[in-house]
Order: sequence, then structure tokens, then C-alpha cells
Amino acid sequence: MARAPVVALEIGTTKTVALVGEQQEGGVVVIGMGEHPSTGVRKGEVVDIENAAVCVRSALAAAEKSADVAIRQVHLAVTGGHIHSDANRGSVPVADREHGVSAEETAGAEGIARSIQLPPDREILHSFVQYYCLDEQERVQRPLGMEGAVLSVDMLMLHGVSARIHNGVRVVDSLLLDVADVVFSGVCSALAVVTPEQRKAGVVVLDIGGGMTEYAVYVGDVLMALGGIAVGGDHVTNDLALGLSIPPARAEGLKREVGSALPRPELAGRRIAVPAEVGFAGRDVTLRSVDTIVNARVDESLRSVRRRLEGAVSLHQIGAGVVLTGGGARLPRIAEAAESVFGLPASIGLPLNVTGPAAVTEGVEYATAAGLVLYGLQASKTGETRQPSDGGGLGSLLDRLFDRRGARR
Amino acid sequence: MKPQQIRIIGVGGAGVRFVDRLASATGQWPSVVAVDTDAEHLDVSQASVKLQIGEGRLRGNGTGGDASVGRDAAEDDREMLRNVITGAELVIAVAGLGGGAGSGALPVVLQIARDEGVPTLAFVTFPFAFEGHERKSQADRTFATVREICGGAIVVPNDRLIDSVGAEPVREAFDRSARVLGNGIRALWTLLVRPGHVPMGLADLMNMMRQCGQVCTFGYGEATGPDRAALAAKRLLGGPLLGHGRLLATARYALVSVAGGSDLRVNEVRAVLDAIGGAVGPDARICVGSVADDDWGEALSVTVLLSDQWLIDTAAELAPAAKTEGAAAKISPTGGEMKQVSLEFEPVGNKGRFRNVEPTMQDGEDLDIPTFVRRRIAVDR
Repeated sequence: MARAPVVALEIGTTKTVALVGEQQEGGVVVIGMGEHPSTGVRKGEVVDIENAAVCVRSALAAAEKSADVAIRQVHLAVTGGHIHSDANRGSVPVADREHGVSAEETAGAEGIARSIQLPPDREILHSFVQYYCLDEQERVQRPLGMEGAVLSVDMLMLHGVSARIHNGVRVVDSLLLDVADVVFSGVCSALAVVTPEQRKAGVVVLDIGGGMTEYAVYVGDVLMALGGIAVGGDHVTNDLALGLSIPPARAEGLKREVGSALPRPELAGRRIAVPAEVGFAGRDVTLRSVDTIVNARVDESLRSVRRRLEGAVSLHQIGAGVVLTGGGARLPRIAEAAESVFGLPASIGLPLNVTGPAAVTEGVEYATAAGLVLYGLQASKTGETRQPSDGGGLGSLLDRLFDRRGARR
Repeated sequence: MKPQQIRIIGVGGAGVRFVDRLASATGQWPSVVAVDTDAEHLDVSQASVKLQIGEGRLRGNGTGGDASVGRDAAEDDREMLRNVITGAELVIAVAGLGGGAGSGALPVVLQIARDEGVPTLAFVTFPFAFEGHERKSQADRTFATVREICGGAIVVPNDRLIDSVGAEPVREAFDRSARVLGNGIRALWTLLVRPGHVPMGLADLMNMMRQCGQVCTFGYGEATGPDRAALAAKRLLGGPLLGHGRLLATARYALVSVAGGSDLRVNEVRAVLDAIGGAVGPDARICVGSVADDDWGEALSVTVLLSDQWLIDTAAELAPAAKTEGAAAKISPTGGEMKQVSLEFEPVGNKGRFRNVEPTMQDGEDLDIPTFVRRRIAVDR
């Protein structure tokens, strides 16, 4: 049981979080945490390495202290509007009819599926097996040893701009620490907030952060869509600041104190006093205008996600509805707003797949970091570490993680 | 703005009657749409496009005054409604609130337009007091929804159309409501589609909406003959729509449009503006447009959109900053001189904290620009 604890680091738009977690008898436990407001991060991406490093140092120092461990290596969450996914199919002939599909052939088909043409500045971040297919038989789960002439595999590849992915790594490098693995935030939060049963029934996980909204969609426990849009809670704040001519910090406060995803006609006439600050004399705004601005943005963002999902999956297949997490899920009535946009039941997802301080298990804003702890521990269980990306490793890391399949390049 | 870019959609019995006036007044207007559940109503409508909603549910009958039936009917035919809205630059949705089809279907129409990214104006009447409490509260409920999803609402309480209740037959009261509303819509349309001497466009209109909290009311006066300017102004100021001029005196913002045939003269416009200038309060901000269009024949019409005290919950508590702003553009109390005030429209390029970061683009749209700006949703500051 004495596996080394995993340190999950998320350099988010709003805050930088480090969680230390370890595998214990009853499951994964968060034993330490550190947090610092982020600077040098825009829309989920590091734009100022020096400033971000200050935040990371502070968050990691606090985590070290609270967990009483020495941190040398971290798992790093990465996100950004440049990250996209594409599905591709690869096929190989099955050589030996008698013994059926071999492991080499499975690997070969996956390799072909994975070899999509990307612009030179992009690299594959994750690749997931969706389905195998033997001749006419679609949706085969474990083709090994099965008879057939041609084995095909559908894979979902997540890729992003290398330089931008590496910016986060550079921050960690600058602190003379190692990055054990780089994982897409959307994958992490899904790990933290939904159960295997929900993934089987079909579920949309939406992580609404400060600068990014990530989505992951599972149908029949298969990852059908994965990605993000560079729109988040900061946009709501910015809209309020511009629309009501108030300073951004006041707009943020207004959003947190009285914001609502849906308008409240019954309170429309109420006025809210926005307190003065340096260079701002203070003023009154109507709750109606706050609601109008917030609702317009939330509604639009949810619709943007919906539009992207519709290309990859039919919403009728989503039996378990929409699960909202990330700091944006704290906005009152966001679930109702999501229900009306997606036409599916929606709920708030807490990172309940880990145990530990209530601040974490009851904090939607820790979903990504908590999920990253889970990811890291699953990886260390199988002895996986970050491989040079020669495309041949094909670790069964995500195989374990998602019960059966998927591989990291 | 070109006529075909605007859809004027009459929703429900009253809404269809209002747009009918406008369709019959000027003949070929391809953009006038009538939406109702009642097949008989639609049969007699002059609108160029007629959409019967909820046929499977109601078989061409009315809704029986039930707004939820009206809503379901509109939901049934969402795609049909979407087809007439898609591609428009502006939707003006017209309805009488309080009944079934208008109250139920209007929010659906507005929501579709909003989903399609088309700016919307709602032009609605509130029921006469003699229609009873049930219809009044139905209208209130609908309006609470409408004002949240439309870009702006122009509201006329029907009671303002009559001077003294009971003095005229009910039928005439409704006819008058339809006539005045129809003319108001027509004037608004003219203002938007015809380049005038003093042009005024959608931006001015939306700004006006923003300034008065998304909701305004309107006044209308029309006259013919040699003294038509003075007469039209008198009818506007003396009429019940503006509370015999009382609403004008207390309005913070007003948008004035003078429309007439091609013989519209500058001194006529001036005469109208002088009369209005004498009636507004010293702090009011006025935006003026005038247009000459042969459609108006020999008539001269004055349309005023203005912020309406009774709908602005706490206008008296206006922040000091806003008051000075208003004073800077005030009209001289003598009313002798009126200048067109240039009103600022939220600059579309303003991105605040996202100024210097890579924009989030989607289908050619910059998502960093506030949604309410791109969707032209008016916000009361």
C-alpha cells in the first residue's frame, strides 16, 4: 500500500491549486492542499511564466506543509481553447484466422488510427479507444482472440499547440521540479465527479472555470467527445463590468453575491448598491440588469457547448444528464439553465470520488485537481510514468482508468 | 436597414390585427408575418405570411384565453417560426397581452429570435381595465418573461387609449387600440427602413431602450391639411397616450420621429420639435429623426418613444453620475432650440479585460465581446 503520494497541480485562470493525494484502504484520500490566486494566466493558459511560478511555488509550499511531504514531482493539468479532439479509424488485416486477433494487431490498428495528420505545431495530448470493430461487427469491446478478417478501431485524439501546452511545464521546470504527466483538465474533472454508472448511462460533464469551459461526454462508458471553449466565469464578470460601468473587482463581487444564471422577474425592481472603491464613486444597479447580462452570457456559453456536442453525439443517448462542476457551477440556478439548454436533467457534481478535507470534497472548484490526483494514482498503480512520445508505448494506463481501454501516446 | 431585413410578427388575435393595419396601409410588405392558432383570424389577415400554429393540438381554434395552450402551440411549430425569423436583422414582435395566443406564443417567438441572434423589439398592449383582473395578471406574468428576453419593449396600456371608460362602445375602444398601435408600428418601421433627413437607426433605438431600462411607451399624433404640423403635435401632446403631455414632462429620455410625405417641410419638423421641446422636462435627453416617404401621402405623423415613469421602478433614485450626464445634453427650457443629441451606443469593440488576449472566436463571432452587446440586449444602467 505504500505507494508514493501524487501531487496534482492545476494552474487555473482564477487560482493555482496543489493537492497531495494517496491511495489508502478505503480509496483515494487528499492529505494536503495548497492554493494561491493566479496571476499570469489567461483563459486557462499560462501567459506569464514568472508570475505563474510565484503562485505555483506558494501553492506547492502550502501543500508540502499541510501534507508533510517533500514535493519533487507533480502531475500537471492543462487546458486552453487551442485543445481539440478528432475521431479517427484505423484498420489492419487479421493474419491468423485460427488464433484470432493478436495483441500486436490491436496495437497496430490503434497506431494507424492515431496517426492523424496534424499541423506541425500541434501534438497529441491523449488518445482514447472508443470501439473496436471486427469485419461487420461494430462495437466490439475486447477483440483479443476473436475471429475475423479485418480489425478496425475508432479512437478519439485530443491535441493542442505544443508550445502552449509546454508553457505550463516551463513554470514547473523553473521551480526545478519534474512533471510526471500532463493531463487535460476536462479528463480530470470527469474522473472526479461522475461514477462509472453515470458514464455507462451516458453523461455530459461540464467544468466551468474562470477562463475555460471543458466538456467530456461518455456514452456506454465510452468517451465520445472531449474539448473546451475559452469562455468562463471571467466573461460573466467582464460583461457585468462593461455593462454596468463598474470596476472588474466590483463586478466579480456582484456576480458572487447576487448573480443568478436565470432571471428573477419577482426581484427585478430591486436595486443593489455597488460600493465605492478608488476611482469609482459607487452606484446603484438594478438586479434586473445584472440578471439580464449574466443570463445572456450563461445561456450563450451553454449553447456553444451544446452545438459542439451535437456534432459528436446525440443528446438522446445521454441517460444520466448533465453534471456541472468547476467554480462556475456555484452560480445559482446554473443547473436549471443547463436543463433548459440541453433538454436534459442537470445537477452539480462535487469531487466525491476522493475523500479528504471538506473544502475539497464539497468544492466544485477542486474537481480538476481532485481528478488529477485520481489520474496520477491510477497511473502509478500500473507503473506508468511519462514516456518519451515515440508512439510505441501504448501504455494501458487509461485502460485501467476507464476500466478497459484507451492509451496514452 | 432594408425592409426585408425586418420581420414584423403579429402574434395572437390582437397582434395580427395590429400588423394588419400596417400590411393593408402600404400593400406589399413582404416582411409582415401573422401568427395565430385561430384559422379564421388568419384567413382575413392581410399579412403576406400567415403561420397557423398548434394545428395538431387545436385544429384551427383559439386558445380559450389560456396562455399555456398558446405557448404549447408555438412550441409545436418552433421550426416554422424559426424559418421566418432566421436571417432577419431585427424582429418586431407585436401582441396584445392578457389572452392565450399572444401571451403564450410571444415569449416563444422572442426566444427563438434570441437563439438565432436576431435583435428583438416587443410591441405590446396591456388589457383594458374592464377586461378584468385575470387578463391583467396574465399580461403581467407574460411581460415579466418578455422583458427579460427581448432587446426592448414598447408598452401601451390600452386604458391610455381612451379618455374616459364607458364613454365609447367597447368595439370602438378595441378598434382605436388597433388603429393607434398599427400606426405606431408603421411609423417605427418607416423610421428604420427609410433614410431620413435626420437619420435615426436601430442603434439609436436600442440605445434609447437601454437608457430607459428596456421598457418604454409611445405617443402618436397624426394630421393632414395646411396646419398639419401644429395639429399633429397638439394631438400627440393633448392625447391620452402620453397622459395629456404629463408623461413627456417627466420622461428622462425621448426619441422623436416626424414622418410625412415627400412634401414634408423643414419648418414643419421644426414646429413639431418646438412643441415637444416646450413639453419636456429640463433634464430630458431627446433624440430626433425625420423621414419623408410617399407612403404617408398627405399626412404628417409624430411618434414619440419615451421612458415611462410607472414602469421604471425607482427612476427617482437615479445615481448622481447619470443625472449630470443627462444635464449635459439638456434642452433649453424655453424650448426654442433643439439639437440632436448624439447618444453613445456600447462600442462593439469594447472587450474590457480581454482587450489584449487572443480572442475566443466562434463562427466568426468574438465571444470576448459581452453577449448582451452582440445580441443587442438593452441593459438599464
